[in-house]
Amino acid sequence: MDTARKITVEVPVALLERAQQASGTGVTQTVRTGLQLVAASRTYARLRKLRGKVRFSRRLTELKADR
Amino acid sequence: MIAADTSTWIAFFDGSRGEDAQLLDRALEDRQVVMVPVVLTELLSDPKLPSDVAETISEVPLIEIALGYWQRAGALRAKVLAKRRKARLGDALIAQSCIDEAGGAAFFRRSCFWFSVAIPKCGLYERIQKMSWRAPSTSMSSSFIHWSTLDFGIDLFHSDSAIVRTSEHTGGVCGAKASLGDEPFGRIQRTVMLNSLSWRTHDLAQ
Repeated sequence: MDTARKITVEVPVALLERAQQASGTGVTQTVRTGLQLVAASRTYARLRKLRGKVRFSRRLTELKADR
Repeated sequence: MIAADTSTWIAFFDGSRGEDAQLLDRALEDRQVVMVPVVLTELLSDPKLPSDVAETISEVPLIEIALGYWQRAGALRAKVLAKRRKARLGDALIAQSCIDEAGGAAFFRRSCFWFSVAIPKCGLYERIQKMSWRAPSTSMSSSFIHWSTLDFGIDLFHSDSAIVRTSEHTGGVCGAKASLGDEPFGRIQRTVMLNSLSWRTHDLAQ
């Protein structure tokens, strides 16, 4: 992470507990994960629209050989 | 969270109707997808990839490289090799990323089926061997897991996790990481098994 900003936010205790239970991590990581998912929501939609429209020039056999 | 292998991403973009591509599509719809750094590198290595596609792929949340990652990946690979199993560097790095992912990351790919399971220490090997895996039947977003009948073996164990890989012939499509409760062989929490169509809880004590 290049830069980080310390923030103070008020969140419902029950929501935070449930989120932490779901992520299995602490407050910071849980909040980070949540923010990442919100930020990526449009990305997910764009990716779904790209399905069937992008041809990679590298084939699976080449990938396998690479690994 | 769910992570897909490069092979699955390529199949997805290519419009493949394969099971793994369909699962990735559903995972994207459920906003459950994370990107493994090595996979991102492989995808971006295509010299003819349009820049807008590369940009979109790069925006998928990346699994962070945690402190000690490289050491753990090396140890992981060593354990697999000690069992005289194939462990390519790229695969080992991907596996370690999925193990490190907070909350666990399912992983699916084209060529084989493997997943990591966080399990409490020893003793589970035999239990896993006896487990009956059933075909999933509910939606992917469910927090439960259902096992399907597959022939699989365990590649290695950590003190609290394991990489499990099925035989290649299954043509598997997914992987999973699941955490267990505090009590030994407790109920699997936080799922993530993507096999065919569903997830259910599986009580390892059964």
